[in-house]
Amino acid sequence: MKNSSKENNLLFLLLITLPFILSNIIWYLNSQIQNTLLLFLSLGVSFLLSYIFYKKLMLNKVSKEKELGEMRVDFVSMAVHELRTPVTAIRGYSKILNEEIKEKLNKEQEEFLERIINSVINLNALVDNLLNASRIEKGTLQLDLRIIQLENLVENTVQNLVQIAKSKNQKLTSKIPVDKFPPVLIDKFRIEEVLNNLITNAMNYTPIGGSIMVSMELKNSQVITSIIDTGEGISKDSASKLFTKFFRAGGKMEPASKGTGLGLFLSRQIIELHKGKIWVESTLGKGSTFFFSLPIANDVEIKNAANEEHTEATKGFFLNPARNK
Amino acid sequence: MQKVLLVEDAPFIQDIYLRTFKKAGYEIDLAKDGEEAVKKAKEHKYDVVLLDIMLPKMDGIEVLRILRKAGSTTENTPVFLITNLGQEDILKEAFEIGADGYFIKAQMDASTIITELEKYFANKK
Repeated sequence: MKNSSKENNLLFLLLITLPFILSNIIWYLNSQIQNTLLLFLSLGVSFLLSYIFYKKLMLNKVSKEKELGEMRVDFVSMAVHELRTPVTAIRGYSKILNEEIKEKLNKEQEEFLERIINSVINLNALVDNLLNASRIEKGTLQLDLRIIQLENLVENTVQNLVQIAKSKNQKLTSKIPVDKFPPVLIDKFRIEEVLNNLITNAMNYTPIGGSIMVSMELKNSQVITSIIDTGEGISKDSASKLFTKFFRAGGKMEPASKGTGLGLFLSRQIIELHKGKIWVESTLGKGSTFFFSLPIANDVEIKNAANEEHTEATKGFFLNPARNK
Repeated sequence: MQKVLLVEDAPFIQDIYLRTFKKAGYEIDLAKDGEEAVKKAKEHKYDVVLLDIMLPKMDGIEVLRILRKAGSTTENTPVFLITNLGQEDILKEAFEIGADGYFIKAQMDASTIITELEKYFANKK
């Protein structure tokens, strides 16, 4: 896509230059004073003129494209905001139904209600993801950074998912060294999202009876977390596109309805906002390992964070430190 | 926390919150726009105000500014914003004006908001 537009631009430049050159040559051939120096000079001037002309046109084109891009981002965030209220209403009422009439329903109806609730929870997560993606593109996603022992977060996230893995006959384990890691300065809930995303991805692409292991190590002042699965693996071609928006790996293990193609894109953006890196190593047929690294907090960061008055936040609930001393 | 004022303009969301708070044993009043919110908050004494940001007539930030005016009877009434993601700049402003905290609607059910508020007020004592 990009290459072909570059070729088009060159062709465009040639088209602009051509009349200048032709008129130059005609003028030269008709002229009485056939001085080659003069010819080159006028050719040079015409080149310069057409180049300026071309640059100016290109600049216009680029700013138009940028404008279109911004319009698209605004449209997405607007549409997503409009989705919010109805989704919240469906979620609220289906939960009320679940509390109030569950006993009166037969097995099948109960199953229907459960499906509605699960679907609306997924829909809510999708809306969240779309909104986050648009905020990342606009550069308005803000991190709530705190000093944290990453190993505790990793261990808790793994423990929360062990049951789901068990129900799929998969073995989910963690291998975390006994020694304490140096702390990291992170937005706990964002990194938890990344962990959740990487582990559930691994579970979705690993067959029944397979295993997923989460391990951690310290290397060059970076805490590296890796999620190792025994799934079908990822081809080199797919691996390079994996962290881009709306890309889905496909393959025979691809879950039928799950995934929005946003999870890994968002994970990469979140990790990069934390000045870390995310990458994958994979062998087809053997499995994949996803890595992400986070820099350890420096002394200044630790000191500042310790001075900051804060209450342990629950997801979705924030207290104003100035009024809650 | 006994008496709650909910400021919210979406009918279904109003209904869900009213039901859930009443069921949990709380007295809850409703204001459907910013002006009504200011009026009710000044007339009655609420233990907590739950305030949406995008409201008809007067937005939540303006309401908060009026409630927090020095010398006003509502100067120290706990106010929590209930809002959606993606409005951090507004929330920062709200904290500066003096909101006590905020809930992200998409991540909290009415019942979890009650649980968090109960915890909050228990800690304050």
